[in-house]
Amino acid sequence: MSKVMIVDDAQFMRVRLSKLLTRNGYEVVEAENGEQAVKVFKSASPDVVLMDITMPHKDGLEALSEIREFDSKAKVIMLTALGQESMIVQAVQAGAKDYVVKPFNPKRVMSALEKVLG
Amino acid sequence: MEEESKFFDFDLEEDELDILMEDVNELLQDLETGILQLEEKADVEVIGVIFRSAHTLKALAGTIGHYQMAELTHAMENLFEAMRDGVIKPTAEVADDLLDALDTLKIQRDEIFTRERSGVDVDTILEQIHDLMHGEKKPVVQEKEVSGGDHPLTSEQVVQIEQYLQARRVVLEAKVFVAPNTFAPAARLSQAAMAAMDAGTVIVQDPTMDDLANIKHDNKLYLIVVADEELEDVKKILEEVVDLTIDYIRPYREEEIESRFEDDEDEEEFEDEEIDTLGQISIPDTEYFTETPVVSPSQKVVPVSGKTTPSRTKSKRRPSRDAKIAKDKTVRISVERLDNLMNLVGELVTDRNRLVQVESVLRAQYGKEGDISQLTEMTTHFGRVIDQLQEEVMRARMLPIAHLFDKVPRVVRDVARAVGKQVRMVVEGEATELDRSLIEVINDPLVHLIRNAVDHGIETPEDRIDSGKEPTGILCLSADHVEGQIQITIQDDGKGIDPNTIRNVVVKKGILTEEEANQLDDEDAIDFIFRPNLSSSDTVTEYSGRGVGLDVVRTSIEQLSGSVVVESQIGVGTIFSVTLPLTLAIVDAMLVKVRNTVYAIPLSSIIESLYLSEVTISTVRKQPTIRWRDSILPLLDLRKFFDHPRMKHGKVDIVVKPAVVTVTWGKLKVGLVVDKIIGNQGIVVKSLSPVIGEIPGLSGAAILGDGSICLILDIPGLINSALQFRKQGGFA
Repeated sequence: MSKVMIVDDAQFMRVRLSKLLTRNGYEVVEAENGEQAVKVFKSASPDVVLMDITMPHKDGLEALSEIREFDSKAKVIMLTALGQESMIVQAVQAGAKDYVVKPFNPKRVMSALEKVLG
Repeated sequence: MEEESKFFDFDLEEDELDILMEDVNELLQDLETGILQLEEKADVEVIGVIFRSAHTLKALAGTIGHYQMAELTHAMENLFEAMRDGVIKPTAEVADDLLDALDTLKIQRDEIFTRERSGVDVDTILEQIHDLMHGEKKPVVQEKEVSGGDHPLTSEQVVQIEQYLQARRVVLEAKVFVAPNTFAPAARLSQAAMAAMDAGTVIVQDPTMDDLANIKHDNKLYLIVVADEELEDVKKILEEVVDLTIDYIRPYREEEIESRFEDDEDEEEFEDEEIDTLGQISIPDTEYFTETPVVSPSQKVVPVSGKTTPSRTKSKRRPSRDAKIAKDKTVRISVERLDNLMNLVGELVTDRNRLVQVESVLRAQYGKEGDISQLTEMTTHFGRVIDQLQEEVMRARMLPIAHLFDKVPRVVRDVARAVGKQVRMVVEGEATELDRSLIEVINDPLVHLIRNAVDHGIETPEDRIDSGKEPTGILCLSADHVEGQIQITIQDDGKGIDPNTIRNVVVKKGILTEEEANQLDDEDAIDFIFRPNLSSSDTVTEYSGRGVGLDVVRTSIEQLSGSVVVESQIGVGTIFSVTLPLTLAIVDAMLVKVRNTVYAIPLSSIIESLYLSEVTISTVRKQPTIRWRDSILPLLDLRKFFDHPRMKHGKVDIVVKPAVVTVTWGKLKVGLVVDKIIGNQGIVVKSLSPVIGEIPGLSGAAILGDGSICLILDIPGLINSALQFRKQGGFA
């Protein structure tokens, strides 16, 4: 069973994603901002990270680079609202494997996960 | 003034009409798509496409003698040319005039069909175009866009590549692009570049990472990679990137040899802008190799490509055209003929099933004696070939959904303008293929959903700003293959649907009591927008206006064995997901027996099946139910539902092993009780004769292997019946 870390400051988003993922047989750990994300990543070592870009206390981009610094093979998929193109480009160039646009389509989230894990 | 005849006298044979119409429609579509793109991004490619479309239309119109049409297309062509030369800038006003012109062209197209003069006013639009070209208010040109797609190389890069080639490394060049409507195209291109870096050493990347970070790109990316892996592997890695189309990926050298043959291709095409820039040379450059000693050891290899200089920078084909490769037809074949083929294949499938049965009977009778084993072998092979044949014919009937999606931007633009909204379209998965018969019938429901999204989903720019959003709303239309079905989603980032408003309306309308309405969870409440009695109501407009005609949308999608569900979040947006089968002709089904009759249940609607002996039936308010995965599942006993009159007297199958087949439709689930599960099979769907009319619970029939008939269950209908019970019995 693969372990996924969900990072989003909105609880609703975490609950939504968490439901979706557990239903599809993933184990889920959560973090609600970038700072927590880095900590949880180090302790829980998830197989893949689903992370929002815009967050308080260290945004997704900063957290991404710290996580990648800690583990250069870390697989991170960014979650993003429409209209953050340059942020997404930065994230991808900093090593994010993929991105999914919010409000997200469950199928897309699942296929992105499968691809990254595959 | 002499009166013109009411009719046109075209130089057009009856049997040519269809073909002409197909061409004209395709060109008009290309024009429309291109003109709409102009507003966002007027690059050489887009202008190239519309220029060619206008040009070809002009030729067609001239050929049949529709001179007004030829005149109009000629004027448009001139305008596009001025645009390409940078004399005119494509502003929204220009696009407006061009769309007017396009509408006129469409009327003229209809004239070809009816041969009747419509009296459409061509002069005004010609004047408008003339004013644009020569008038005072000629929009000023801004700086020309730099085409980032071609690939001049620096001398260093040339040396580098040559050295890798000498070392017999795999040097690949690739060009990929994203559709202009993709969200965050620069990110997708970055993803491709990152993927290439994973696969080897990137020598050339155009646009660079910095360009991409500054969103300076042309929706395409050119790469030269020294690969650690084989071409196929690198290709696979690139293919993994969503929304990305690979124009080409090939060993670096091959291309140069090829390019020699492309020198004088298609004189109608524009020559590319010269892209050579200072300090860069186009490789391979003969002079470079003769003058520079650095690479002298490689001269045996170099001359092969050395001669091909002139065409090196001339791009192969414009990506926008490549993007449409899937759309271009190589052979024209009438839909009728395809339908015939499909029917014949259907017959074959039936015969195959019969043959399999005969074979198994014979084998049971005679064992595996020599001749029988040959028959077995043949049957297996025959079966495999028919499966392949079926798939090929099905594929031949498939068209990319782009045929449908292409029309959407115009709809969105028109509705948005009419209701004062600002909307940006994002389209994903245009290449997703589906049966052409589906494309025709799904058009209306889809357009309906899209209009709804623009009209009622997305807020006015003022409201959006008030709620802290960008003034321009985003409408994302996407298609994808999911589990052997097509999924189309229409997603907006508008105000969403408030479940409480719907609960109120439902109560007000007397559909549910207040208590019942409050028990609905949000998803179920929102689902009520598909109810007919809600949608026609004017109270509906009070809640984000959703619902107008949505019942019709759901009904028509269900008639295609599809489903539509909605998901919404207040303030964030709404997603409508439409799921459709790939084809309507052949379905995979589970065959079940109820008394003496065989029924087929489409596999797409089955979740799982259990033996009745494994579950406990409890009656909740007169409704038999079982516990199923933490929820209570209402049962519908088909043995009772289809009240077989001869049930008591007829010969009943002795081997009965009652089972519950859990079926789903939208969010609803019901367990169907049957006598026996026979197995799974592909069946060829035949509609029930109109003489018989509609029978509740049945959607069609099919012929089975032994020649007998099986009836196909209408799952939405059955679930509805089951829920009628539920309502009457007060099942919660």
